[in-house]
Amino acid sequence: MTKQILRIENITKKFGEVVANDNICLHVNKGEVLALVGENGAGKSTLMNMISGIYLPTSGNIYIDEEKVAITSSNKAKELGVGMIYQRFKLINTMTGLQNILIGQEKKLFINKNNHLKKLNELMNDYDIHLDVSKFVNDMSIGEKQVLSIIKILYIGADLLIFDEPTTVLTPDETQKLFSIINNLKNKGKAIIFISHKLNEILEIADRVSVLHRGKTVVESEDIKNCTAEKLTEMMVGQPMDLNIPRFQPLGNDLLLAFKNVTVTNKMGRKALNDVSFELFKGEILGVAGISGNGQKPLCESIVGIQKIDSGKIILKGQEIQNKNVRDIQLNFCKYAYIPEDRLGMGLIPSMSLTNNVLLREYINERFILNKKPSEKLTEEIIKNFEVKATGIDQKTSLMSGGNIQKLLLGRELQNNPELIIASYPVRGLDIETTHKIYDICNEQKRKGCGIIYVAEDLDSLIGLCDRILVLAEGRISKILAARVTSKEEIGKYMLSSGGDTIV
Amino acid sequence: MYRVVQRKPISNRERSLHLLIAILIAFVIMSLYFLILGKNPIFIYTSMIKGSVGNKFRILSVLKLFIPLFIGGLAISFAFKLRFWNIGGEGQIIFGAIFASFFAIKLNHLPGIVLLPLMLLAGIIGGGLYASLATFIKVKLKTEETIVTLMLNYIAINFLTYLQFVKWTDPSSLGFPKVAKFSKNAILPELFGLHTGWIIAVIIGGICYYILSKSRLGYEIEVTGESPKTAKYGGINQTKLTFITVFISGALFGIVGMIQASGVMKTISTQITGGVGYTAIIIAWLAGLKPKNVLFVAFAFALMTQGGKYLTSVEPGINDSVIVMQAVVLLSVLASEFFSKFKFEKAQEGI
Repeated sequence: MTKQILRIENITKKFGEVVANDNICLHVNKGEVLALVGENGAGKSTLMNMISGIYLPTSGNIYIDEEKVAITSSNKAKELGVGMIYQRFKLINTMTGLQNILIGQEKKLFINKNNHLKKLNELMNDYDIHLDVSKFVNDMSIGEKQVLSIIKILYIGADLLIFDEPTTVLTPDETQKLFSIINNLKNKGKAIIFISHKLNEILEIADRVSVLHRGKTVVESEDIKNCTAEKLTEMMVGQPMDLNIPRFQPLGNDLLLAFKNVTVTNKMGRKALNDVSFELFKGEILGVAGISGNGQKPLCESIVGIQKIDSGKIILKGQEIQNKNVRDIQLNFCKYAYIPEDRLGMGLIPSMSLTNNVLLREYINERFILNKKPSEKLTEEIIKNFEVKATGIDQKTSLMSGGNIQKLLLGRELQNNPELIIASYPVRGLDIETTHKIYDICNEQKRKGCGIIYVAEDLDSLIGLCDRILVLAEGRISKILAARVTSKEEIGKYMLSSGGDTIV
Repeated sequence: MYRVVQRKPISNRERSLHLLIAILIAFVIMSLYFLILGKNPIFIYTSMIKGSVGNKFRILSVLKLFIPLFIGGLAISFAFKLRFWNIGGEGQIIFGAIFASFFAIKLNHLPGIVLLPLMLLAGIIGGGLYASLATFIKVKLKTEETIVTLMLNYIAINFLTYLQFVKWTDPSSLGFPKVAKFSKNAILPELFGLHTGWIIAVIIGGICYYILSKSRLGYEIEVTGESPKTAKYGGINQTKLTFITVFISGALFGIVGMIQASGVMKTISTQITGGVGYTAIIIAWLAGLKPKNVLFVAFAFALMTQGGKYLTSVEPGINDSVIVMQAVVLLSVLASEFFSKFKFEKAQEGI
């Protein structure tokens, strides 16, 4: 008989008046993967935070190994064998992998490292995981950091592993490696909760799926062994949905933006952009693919004037704009929209109200005393058009869920008909419906003649949405591919090589 | 078992209630303290009230204490909103006072109507420029402004000592190191029994409120303080903004220096700051860097200080207790902030 590792019965969590989780039920068995899906703000994070001891439920019961438990702290969660792998790894960069694993393990003055190392190696062999734990976290790739997080949790003795959108930061190759680890874990009898928005991944890795919608369970732990993408979407959205991304022909060849041999050296003295040249036409979507941290950020930031360049030229609407300041470009050269990668750190002010965040783009033509009326109106429009779930325009931005924060940013940037859109991972963390809405907006802007630079990690969407795809590797353009004829494999190949010539 | 949980943002009314309870608790604690010392707490509190608002003279003394604390609190609010930790209020007050005094001493033949505005302007420039020195060092050399502004305080006080003891010493003081009293036209006239510094304070309070909460500059300061990266993204010139904001902060302290020299001391001496540069930090922090709250907090501080001064005259040997009382009130208020942000939640014990 299959053993239930976790069962949640009628869990409700209220934050004051707001009901974040309403009578949620789900269960995970030993040796299986349960996918947990739901739109932004559906209550996934709240639920997982209750399982990992961050929040306490208002009412309802949690059973672990068929025993009713109260998970009162994250230490308690650890004791009970619950481990979470966060999107942002909770690791200490200046320590080695081993040190990170051993933190908090033993409350002794001296720790016998060799002993631990031996046990650790056995554990890694058991699960067929390979990682050099003597490496500093600083020197690890994102994939390695994730593996380290997994080992850390296993070493504590977790039986239930929760992955919070683990693939958003990985390359296709790393994703496959992660999946093989997950499969090993599964075969060894661990239970896994896999939070994701990506259909094909869910279909590939999960055994069953639970769907949350506005804080309620709409699909409870249903078997998806023989499910199709269409059927899964229907389960998630509640109605059938067209998953194809429409693509329109680019408008012609009116040049909007050109990079000519642009080189940027970062603080570490490394070339963040190395001799980058490309062109973007009006009414075109140019995709940017690459493992994150390979030059996407300096590329975007140098266009809007945040990043200064060392050499080369950036030509926007026929005028050189390299090394001009941000305000100058905004006011005198081009109306652009920029959706940065780190939406809370750059782009929004979490502690301010929605209106004051919208004001950031609106106020630049004001003189001394600010008139907030237009921004208030605009904020209301954004809430309506982008279905932002907020209590009102005066709500503190940081109190919204991640997806809604993203929608606010998108709304602000796209509201005033930009000529150029620079979108860096705009759909990261968004649910399917909103994601497709973003694609529609991109296409709509494209047809109006807007040029779009679209940085993304999901190669399927890049291929589906873009006209051309620029592949970055170590700050160089390794290839510019025509999206209509390329494949995921081809892009993946170029992502790993710097300099187009070395490709066989 | 209980655990600490973040609570939803509370309304201003609830927050005021929390503050009131905190102050009450502080007085309960202090009552116990006085009882242990063998003093009658009721007598102590009534004398403090009598001492601070008992008659017109005492109320005026409270207001005299209030003016520098209020303007100083505003000065700190500007800098701290930008997350520029200006610990150099003392030095900026001193340089404001020195600049103002320079004109008071050198151009004492000018009529008051010309001289006083000139002194005010000099105070603004003196304090502002002295603060800008720290900005300049921070921007050029990427130093930590806390250290730099703090060290500039010592330079300022020593420079003033030099002026008082050497350069500006009153020759008619028979070798006693003090600066001569300003001539009448360099002294702020009185209105309703109080030097006209209060009019300056009222005007400045209004202007600061407008700048911080309604203006473009206030918005840019807040955005940059909260998220420098977003400010960069939004196109805010942070170097320029830092120079402007810190200049304003220093200029406000400079005005304090001018008012204290011209209105209160009627001369300049090393006692000019009265610790306002530091007290202002506590005031601004308790007020959450909001001009309206600074008004109330500065007033409460002035009341307590004046009440304490009176108390020491009627109840000898209690000097230190006044400081203890101020500390207890402060700590209670700070603790209440914790309870406004967090709450204790009973954990359900399943097992």
